Parts: sequence; C-alpha cells; structure tokens
Amino acid sequence: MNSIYECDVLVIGAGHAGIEAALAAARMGATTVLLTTNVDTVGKMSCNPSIGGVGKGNLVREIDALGGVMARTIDETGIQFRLLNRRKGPAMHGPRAQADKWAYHERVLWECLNQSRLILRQETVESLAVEKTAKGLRVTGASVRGDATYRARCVVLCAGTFMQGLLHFGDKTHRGGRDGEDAVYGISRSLQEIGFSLSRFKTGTPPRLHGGTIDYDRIELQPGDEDPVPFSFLTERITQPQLPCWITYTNPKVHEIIRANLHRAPMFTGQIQSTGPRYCPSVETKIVRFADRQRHQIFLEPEGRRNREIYCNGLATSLPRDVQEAVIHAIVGLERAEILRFGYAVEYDYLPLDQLHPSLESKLVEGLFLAGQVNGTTGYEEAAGQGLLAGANAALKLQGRTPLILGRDQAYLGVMIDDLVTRGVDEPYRMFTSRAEYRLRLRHDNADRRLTPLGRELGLVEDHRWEVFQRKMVAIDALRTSLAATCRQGVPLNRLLARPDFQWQDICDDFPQECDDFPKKKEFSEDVVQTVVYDIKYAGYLSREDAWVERQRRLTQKRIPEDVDYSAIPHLRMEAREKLSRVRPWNFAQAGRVSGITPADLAVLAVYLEKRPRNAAEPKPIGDLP
Amino acid sequence: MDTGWDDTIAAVASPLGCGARGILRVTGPDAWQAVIRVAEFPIDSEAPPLSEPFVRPALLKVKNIRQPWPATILYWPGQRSYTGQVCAEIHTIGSPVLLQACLAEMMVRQARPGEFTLRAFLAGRIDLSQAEAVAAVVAAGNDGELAAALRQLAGGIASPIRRLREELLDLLVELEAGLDFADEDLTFISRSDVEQRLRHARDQLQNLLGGLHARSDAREGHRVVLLGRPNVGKSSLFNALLEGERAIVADLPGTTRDCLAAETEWQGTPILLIDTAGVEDFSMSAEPRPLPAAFKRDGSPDDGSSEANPLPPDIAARRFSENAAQSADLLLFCTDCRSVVSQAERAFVTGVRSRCLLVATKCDLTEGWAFPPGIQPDVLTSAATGEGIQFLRNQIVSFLSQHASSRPMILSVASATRRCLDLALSALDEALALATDSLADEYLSASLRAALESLGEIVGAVYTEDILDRVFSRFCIGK
Repeated sequence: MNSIYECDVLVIGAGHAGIEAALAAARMGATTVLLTTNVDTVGKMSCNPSIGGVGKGNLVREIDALGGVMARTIDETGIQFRLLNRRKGPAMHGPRAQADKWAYHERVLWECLNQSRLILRQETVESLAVEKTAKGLRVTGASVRGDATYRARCVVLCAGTFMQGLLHFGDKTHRGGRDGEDAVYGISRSLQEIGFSLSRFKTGTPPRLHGGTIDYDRIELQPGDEDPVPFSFLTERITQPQLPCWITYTNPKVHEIIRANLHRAPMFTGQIQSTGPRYCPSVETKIVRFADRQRHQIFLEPEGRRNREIYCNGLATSLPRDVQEAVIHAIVGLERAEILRFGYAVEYDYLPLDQLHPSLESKLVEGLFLAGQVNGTTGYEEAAGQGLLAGANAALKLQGRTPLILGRDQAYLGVMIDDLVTRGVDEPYRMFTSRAEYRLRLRHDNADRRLTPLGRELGLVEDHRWEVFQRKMVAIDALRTSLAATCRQGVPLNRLLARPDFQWQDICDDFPQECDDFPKKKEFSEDVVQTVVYDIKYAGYLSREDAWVERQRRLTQKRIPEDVDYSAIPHLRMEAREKLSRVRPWNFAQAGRVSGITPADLAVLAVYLEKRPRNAAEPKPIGDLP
Repeated sequence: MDTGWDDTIAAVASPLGCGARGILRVTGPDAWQAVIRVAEFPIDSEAPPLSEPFVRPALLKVKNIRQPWPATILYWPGQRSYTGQVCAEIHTIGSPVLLQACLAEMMVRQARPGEFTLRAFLAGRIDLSQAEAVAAVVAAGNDGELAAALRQLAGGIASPIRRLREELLDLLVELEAGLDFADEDLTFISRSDVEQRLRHARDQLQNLLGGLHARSDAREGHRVVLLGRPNVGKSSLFNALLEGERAIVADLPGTTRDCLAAETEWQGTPILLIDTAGVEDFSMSAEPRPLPAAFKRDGSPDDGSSEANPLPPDIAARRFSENAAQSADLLLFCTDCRSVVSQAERAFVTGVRSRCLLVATKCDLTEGWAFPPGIQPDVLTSAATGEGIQFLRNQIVSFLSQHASSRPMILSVASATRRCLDLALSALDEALALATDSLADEYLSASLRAALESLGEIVGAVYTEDILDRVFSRFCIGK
C-alpha cells in the first residue's frame, strides 16, 4: 500500500545544504520534511573536517547572520581555531576551525530534532514528481523506496555527490556517494526525464591515518590561536581546549614514487574524465603541473577529540593502495603510519547552472530548488549558504513573497549565487575573496549588520539573536559617539583612528580606565570595538567603492523582461544572442556579467528594449505565484 | 542620435571631389535591394548567394544617364560585415555626379557622418577606442589628425591599453594569490618589484593620455569654409558675417594673398570661419595632399621640405582651398549672382551638396539671377547692404546642428576614453602611494582593480575568472 505524506517544503539530502535549507524553511513557518538516506550521516564531513578559511569564513558568518546553524555548531564542536590572514587588513581575515566531525554531526542532528515544524526521516528518494500546468512544469513531491510518496509544494534538492556517484580507488571503481555509502540513481533519471541537463564533476579526498602511528617528534607543531575568534555572533567566547595540528612535507622521493606510478593514476589514464577543482588538486596533479617544486606542505589534522583518526590535508589522491602506502611511508614522520581509510576520487552528477534562477529555483520546474554540490559547487560553507537561501526562498514562495536575492555588494552569498547563475562554472566552485569586487565592505565582522535586519524581516532570525543584535547596534552607536566627542590634543579620536599608524591600543594607553575623559571604554565588548575601528579605517575606500556600487545598482534596477526573445533582436551578435538566451539575465547588471557580453551588446539590448511598446517592456514582479 | 539604426543607409565613402575611384557604401536590411536598383549583373552569371561575402563585376544603370557604366560590387552578409548588418560597396569611377545619381536612385536614407561607425560599435565589431578612431577619421581636420586617427584604428590606442591591462593583471594576480592563499607554502612578489612594475605601468598610461589630449585638443569649432571663384565677394561676405563681433581674425600668410580664419560663436555654436583663395578650376582633385606648413592648424613649423621647394603660389592657394574644402563641416559656395555658373562648378556643388550652402553674393547689384534652372541658391546676400547676412548665419547654425551629428559622438567617445584613462591613472597613483607606504595588500589590490575596471571600459572587462586562471597557472595552490 502506498503511504502518502504531506508537507509544505520537502528537502532531499541532509548534508550541509539540506540542513540549513530545512531549518530555514521551518523557521519561516513552513511544514518541512528533511529526507536522508541515513540519519547517522546527517551533517557529515565527507572530506576535510574543517569549516571556514579566507572567503569561506565570511560565508559562515553570513549564514550565521541569517540565523543558520553552521557557525554555532562549529563554535561548540571545534577543536582548533585559527584566524587566517591576521597580518592583512580586517577584510581579509578568514576564521577557520577544525571540527570534531562526530560531535559536529551530533550537534546538527540535535538542531534538526529540536526545530519545530521540521521532521527528519530516513528515506531513499527514487524519483521526483512533477505535474503540467498552464505555465509549464511544477513539482509536486517525491517518491521514495518502498512505495511511499511525499507530497510537497516546494522541493529543495541537496543530493551532494550522491547522484550517480562513482568512486575511484586506483584502477578499481565502484558506485557510491561517499566511501561506504551507496549512490542514488533515481533522482538523476528523474531530472533527465523532466528535461534537465546533467554534467559530471570530480573531487578527491586524501588517506586518513591512525594517529597513534605517527612520529610527532619529527614534524612541526601547528597550534591554534591563543584567543580563538568565534564564528557565530551569538558566541561570546570559545572556551573548550584546543588540539594542535602538525605540518610535514612531501620530498623528491615521494614525487619519484608518484611519477613512476602515473600510468596507474585514474586522473592521468583517462579513467576520470570530469573536471576537478584546481585549488584542491590531487597530489599527483600537483607533482605533474609543478614539476620543479621540491616539496609540498601536508597538514595533519585530527578529525575528532575522542578519536585518533588523522586527516592528511594536501595528499588527496586516487592512486592505488600500494602507491598510497609507499607515498605515506616516504614522508617524514609517517614512516610507520597506518592508513585507516584510503584516499579516493568521486565523480558525480551536477546541474549546469544556466538552469537556475537567482532564487535557486529551477527555470524548468516551478517549485523545485537546488542547493549545494548539485549546483557544481564544492565546500560545506558554499553548500550551507545555498541551502539557507534555497530553503528561505521556498518558504517565501509559499507565502507569495519576493525571493531573497542578495547583491554582490551585500554579501559573499550574493557574489556566489550571482557567479553561479550568471557566469556558470567549469570546475567545482569555491569562494575566494578575489571573487568579490566589493570585498572591503564584505568583512566578516560586519556580516550581522549587513544581513541580520534582512533576516529578521523575512522571519529567519529568532528573538534571541535579534535582541543580541540590537544591543550590539546600541553599543556601536555609543562607541562612535564617544570617539567623535573625545579629543586628544584637539583631534577627535575617530579622526586619529583613521590614520594607519594609530591603533585602538593607543587609545587604551592614553585613556587608562580611571581616566574620566573616556569613561565608557571598558563597557564595549571586543567585537564592538573591532567593528567600529575597522569601519573607521576602511571609510575612505568604502566611499570610493560607493560610486561603483551605485552604478551597478542602477543597472540592477534596469530590469530585463522575462519574455525577451533575444534571437529576434536585430544586430545583437550571434554569441550574445546565444549566451543571453541561455542565462536569461534579470537585469542589465547581471547581463553585463555574462561571460563574453560586451558593452556594445548591452547598448543594442537597451535600445531594443527602449523601442518596445511600454507595456511589453514592463517586467512582471519576480517570484510572484500565479 | 535620435533616429533608429535599423533602417538602410548609404553614403559616398570615397573622398569628396573627383577621384579616380568612387565608392558608395550601403548597409542595413535592404542594402542588397538598394544595390540591385542601380546595378545589373552580366546575364550569364548566376545569382550570387547572399549568405557569403563576394565580389562581382556589374553595370550601373541610372535614369537620366543613358550609358550604363562598369562597377565592382562588394557584398558582406550581416554576420560578417563591419556594421553587423548586410553591407555592400559599389566601386566605380569617381565622378561625383554619377555617385550622387546612384545614391539618389538607391532610394535609401543618406547616412549621417559617423553613422556606419556607430552601427559597427553597436554591433560589437569595434571597441570604444576603435569607434573613436573611425569617427575621428570621418572628421579628421588635418593630416596630422588623420594620421593619428588611422594609427589608432590600427590598434594604436587599444593595443597599448591591452598590453598595459595584461601587465596590471599579472601584478594583481601576485597580490590576490597572497590574499586568498595565505595558508599555502608560497613566496610572492617583493615590495620593490610591485613598486617598480606599478611605476612602469603608470608611465605608459601617462604617455597614452598625453597623446590623446594632444589629439583631441586639436579640434575646435565647426569648420565653415567660404569657397568660390576669385572676386565673387568671399572676403566681403567673410567680413560681413563677422561684423560687429569681437572675433579673432588671424592672418594666415603663405599664399598669393592673405587667407583668413576667424573663430566665432553663433547661437552657442562654435565656428571656425575660413576664407579661401579663389579657385578658377573646380575639377579639384579628390586626393588629399599635405598642407603647406602655414596651414597646419597649430601653426607649428613644417619640417622645411616645403620651404626648400616652394610651390608656385597659385598651386599653393588652390591646394589650400582644396584641403580646406575637404575638411570643412560646411562649405559656403559663393557665386556672383550676375555671372553664369560653369559646368565644373555645377558638378562640384552637386558632389558636395550634402554639406554645402549655395550663397549668391552682390545681390544689391542686380535684379536677376544667372544660375541655370535646377540650381537654386540657398541664400541671397549683399555684403554692401547687409541683406541676407543674418539669415545666412541662421542657416549655417541650423545646418550644423542638423548635420554635424558625428561631432557629439566623436566628442562623447573621445571624452569617454579620456575619462577612463584619467580614472585609471589616478587609481595607479593611489596604488603607487600604497606600494611605497607598504600598507596592506587589499588596499593596493582595490586600487589596481579600479584601474583595471577603467581600462576595461575601453578594451573589455576583467573577470575574477581571469584572475583566478592566472593564479592557478602560476602558483601551486591546494593543500
């Protein structure tokens, strides 16, 4: 007998994207069901058990500012915290932490189980259900293994690397979404039947070692920061003790072993055809591409507090077992190390991104949202960010509200989504700060000011976070006022702080706490002080950026009607017609960012739209339900 | 431009006057139909396929001209033409009469100056700096300007900007790699190297900008040139037009008699009024020739070659008149209303009709009018009584405002390029200050990005993928 379950939003996959999607939708009032093939793997860290980094760390703080769980979870379960790029300016700081991967999983599982309106369930989805409407196709839910159906008004697909996943261990391959877990096939079939196009990407993971077999005396220690910086705006302080990581290096002997075995490397024999991420290359790729390098760094990172599994960061490989062993044993400190799990590569399906609206809703099927690795990205943070936005947009759609689309000047999240839907990807997409043209304003310390009010308005931010945020705003205002009103030798402190050679510490030295001139100094928390000082230091640059932001904003407001037939625009170049037809940009700013589109193309488009009858050129509000 | 750019337009593309070869260019959706209104192909030849470019011999047949005459037709389909639309050229003998007759019979709109270029720009065929150059060729005021414009068209400014952009991108990549991949085991560029490369880029940019300023500063008011046979009263008219104005009248020595140019402004329109020596023979050559040194606009001395080998005075005068006529925005063809217009004069006037006002002078001396039927003067004037002078001024201003539409485009394009380079330069200055102060790299990178953004408006944008591609090809990234 076919069992039928009903919900508003159905989320498929409980990885980092699925969790944030389901929690966001439920927070916003939607009855949500989160399906996973295995409840024991909710929020599992398939690769490096670490969160954050340069650029990625900003994503995590933005997710937090919008009420997501990733930041709070890593704050509670992290085992080592480091702020990267400390020697650079604050906009470049990237918080990063190693997680206890088991604790992390338990913690997010607990979040899912404690969220009202959210039901977590173990099921394997076999197909997506769609129906025809006057406007096209519309999702109605999904069927699962064992004759059951979940009916939903919106579906968020977050299947990670599981869609037709294929694992490569040397020249042996077998199906799987992650080592030890089977792949899923029905969803890909469903998507293709509906008319989506699928492509393949590849990614890899290094061997894991038994921590008790490493010779720590012979390798470098890498301790965490003494004053760990939390990810979440709700976390006051990281209090748990930290564990060290270690650094060792490859050497010419290792390179020799790898070179001698390249004929057995799936990356080079043609066994793996799909593209992998360039910034996360396998060790064999590094040695071939940078042949003159004498050594490469390897970070040895504990995967948990109560466990001795060690992650070999820098040694991703799909070489056969015997080669992996020979390589490990040729590395200083690892001569006697035992491999706990072998490294491997995984190939999986993703959906090329011209099939998505900036709301992450698919163009082809109304109500079907996509988030995470199925969109060709890589990384927990990128996945979680998309999940949050997709879940929120699903809920907004059900409420008949305009979707949440963040600007490139507003958040790294906005940069990421715009890159994905406008420029597409030709390798797994990862966030870098260099992708953000307005990165001086997208600092990690001001993510809450950029996004929390918006999140509150949408229903993503709960009362506690809102109170904390408002208190912080009051403190920021008070500190700004104090700095403007207090002078040293006739110069206001805020003007002094604008100088590169004048720091907050100078104020502290000048105004010891008993001094009456600056009585409230002690009352300001460290993060308030930091964010105010950074604002002052960056102010000059931000005001210049304002002009660009304003120009882009004007172009953003210049909407392009959804029904433009680019092939019918006279004089538009063939290439421009094809690309614009595929991407179907929402506005001129986005159109200008489509690769290969020239200012002249935009001029042609602008003149054409100008000449269209007024009523036809008026775009319909985006995201409205019929 | 106020009208659309999807109709069919045509224009004489060869230099004005009677050259050995005349070119009619036509572009737009009906370009081919326009061509076959005047052209016939040999009977035994197949109809050419219009999907490919081709060159064909043909005969031109026009009403009122009994004999067909030979021509070569060049054809480009829309996807492969300069304007992005169907485009054709008729190459034939360089008779202004024949060319004008063809143009009339093609029954398409006459192109405004710079309109072909505008279409090419809109079609993405050329970038901003090339568009500027083409427009400048159209409007080139003197030989030096023309040469500079042609150089620019051949990548004169775009390719140095492209090279500069490459250098800046490489430098940016070094900084970006250091910012995004702090945790990698990499060594990056040294401070002194950054500074040196910035300085080099800045110098290059300054040179480019200097060249651009020099060139565009060479243009001033609309050139209005008085032309006609000797003693038709051009100089009197010239003085009458300037009467009561505080115009700067400059002596331009070097011909058999003094030639005059004066800057003035009527109804806000800047005008350079030029009086020329009378020309007896109007079968003027269409080939541009170098001007005598004295007529270079900036008054800079020539290299001396003309002095070593001075031209006979009458030839020098005629050359000046020819050159002035060629570079004019508007010709005032003056004729004494008591004398008969010669065949050669009629042919000349027909050839330049689109930018010529026919001015009858000395109207106070006669009641009659000696122009044969079919040619009507635009304005009747008398320098002696002042009759028609204000009307002529009004006509000049109104003509310039209607016809000189290439100018706003040239100016806007030129100023857009200059503005971009100016912005890039100030961004580089800022970057240099940061490099020497050894501040944080993200500021330096922001300044470099600003410079690249400005250069990108001229030669194409920089995307983060460009930057990342370079990072990954240069550095071994990835743990």
